[in-house]
Amino acid sequence: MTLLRLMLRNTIRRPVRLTLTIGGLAMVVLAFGLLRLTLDEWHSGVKAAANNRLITVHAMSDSLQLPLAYKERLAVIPGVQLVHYGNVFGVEYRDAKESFGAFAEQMGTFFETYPEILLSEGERLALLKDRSGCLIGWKLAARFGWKLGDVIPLKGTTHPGNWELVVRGIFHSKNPAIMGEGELYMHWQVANERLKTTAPDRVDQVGWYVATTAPGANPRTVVAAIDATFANSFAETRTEREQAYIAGWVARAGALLDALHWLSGVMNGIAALVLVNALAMAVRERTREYGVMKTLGFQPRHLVALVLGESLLVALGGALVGLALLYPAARIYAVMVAGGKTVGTYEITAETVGLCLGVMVLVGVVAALWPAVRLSRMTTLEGLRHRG
Amino acid sequence: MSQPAMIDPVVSLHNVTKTYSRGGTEVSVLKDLSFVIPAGTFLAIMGPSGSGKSTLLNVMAGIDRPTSGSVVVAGTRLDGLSEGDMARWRARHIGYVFQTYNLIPVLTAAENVELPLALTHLSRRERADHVKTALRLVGLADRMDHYPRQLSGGQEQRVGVARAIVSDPTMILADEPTGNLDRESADDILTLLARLNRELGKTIVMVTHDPRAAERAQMIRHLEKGLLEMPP
Repeated sequence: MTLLRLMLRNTIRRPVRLTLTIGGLAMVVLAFGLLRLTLDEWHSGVKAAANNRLITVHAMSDSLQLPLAYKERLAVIPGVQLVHYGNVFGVEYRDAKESFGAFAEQMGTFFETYPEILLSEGERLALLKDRSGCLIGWKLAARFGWKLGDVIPLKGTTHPGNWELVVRGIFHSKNPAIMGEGELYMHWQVANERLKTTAPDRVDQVGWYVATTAPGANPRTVVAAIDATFANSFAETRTEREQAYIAGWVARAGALLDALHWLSGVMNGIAALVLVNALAMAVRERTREYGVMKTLGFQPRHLVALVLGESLLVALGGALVGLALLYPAARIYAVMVAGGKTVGTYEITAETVGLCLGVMVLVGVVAALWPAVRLSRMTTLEGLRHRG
Repeated sequence: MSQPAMIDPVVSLHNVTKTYSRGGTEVSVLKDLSFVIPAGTFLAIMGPSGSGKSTLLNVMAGIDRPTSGSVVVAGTRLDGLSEGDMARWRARHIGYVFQTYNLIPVLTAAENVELPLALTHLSRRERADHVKTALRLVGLADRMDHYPRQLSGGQEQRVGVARAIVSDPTMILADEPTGNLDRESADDILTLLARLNRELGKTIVMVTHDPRAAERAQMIRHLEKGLLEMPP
């Protein structure tokens, strides 16, 4: 108990230094946590993907279009239960800074393909009935203060011209990583019809098909059958299960993700240096006291335990303050990102909390190593003769 | 000081030398010392600065190692012990009183005194009893919860003495225990040490350069240039 008391009192012995050290560590934990949120966001789609959805895009590039005529041929492939399709519908609201994710979807199959969408039956029917209607996620509605019946004036980027869409539904998502709640969905047919006058060469083309497999069908067989159907055609296809398709997108951002992972490592290194510096100062100041303790009969392991305990206490203090800041910061971060292109979930998972705590424990241990080694090697006489 | 009739020597030094290397020059601090200290002795070792007094004390405490010779204290030959074994041995047999008190500033008087007991298997209650007894013995029972900064120099040194005796060691080694104190406080400490020797039979070796302090001991020996003056 005496040693525990000594450890606690040593920890709080220099309140200003302790506050600054914990503050520094908390900032690192905060930045680390936000980076993890970003990485989690990237990977969340992979984890949340449905097993029975297959994505078919142009074999050469996702940005190339496929003929609408593929729809019928897809529908008769064994194992395919439902065929859905859509396009990116790039828009700006008021100015370029107020853009968001928008998509033109075949509404007849949309809700069946994406059961993640939570929408009242009345709103669903209203949307299906109104060709100028659109469906928006609740986060997008909250962002611009839109409500049911509002007419949203938009400027098309992928589909040139001015658009006026009526909000017919505001949805929540069972799985925001797949069906983002900060996005807008409108009728594919309406977007396609406008192209007949503005860009006739792009009419009757789709960006992707989503084939839902029948229960019991082997997705691998269906994937192979789809791509075989369109092999050697002028627009060959690349079909993947939804999980693999999203994972492909994540992999394409590999360099960026690698950089973020490295950045996380660098941050932990900074945290360790902050703590090493503070601990080294503290141990240097108390060298004589450690010499006295050795004179009283304490062994190196006792002194190492004191330093390690102090290091862990400070590191965990930094972790807890950092995590306490992470919760409000994550909300602000989500809003800031929403101001850009998309609204993510940015939820702090137990894994992120565990990782932050685990990393700081590791930092605490690593930071204590050097002072602990010094103390272990110090003779009693060196300790007693030290003048700090 | 070697007396053939003595029994139970607590300290036995045989041909002990200690040499330091300073700037490439070998400096002999202790030169072929051989003597014994019987149990229950209060010995004062006097000598000018640099005479090797503190080195001799540190050798007896196992804090410093002799360059050659053997040191047997409380029945244990020290020169063969590892640092860890030496620390364990010191915890059992040595109570050390420093010139500069060396209390831990973040611990109260009672907690400072309790510190050596952290190395024992005593229960919390037993430790508390030992601490109270030690502090009562040094006349500081009413200052248990005071921090060192709240005590005078003399009181701090009394806490230092309480810390040295709390684990009931075989021997107390005091390095200039009154060196930083005023006359009155110094007298208090010396009276306390004399009482510990007289009433509890503690073997005490005190290093000092103050003749008035040395007079309180049963025996005085002078250390000059590494050589211990023998009684005439």
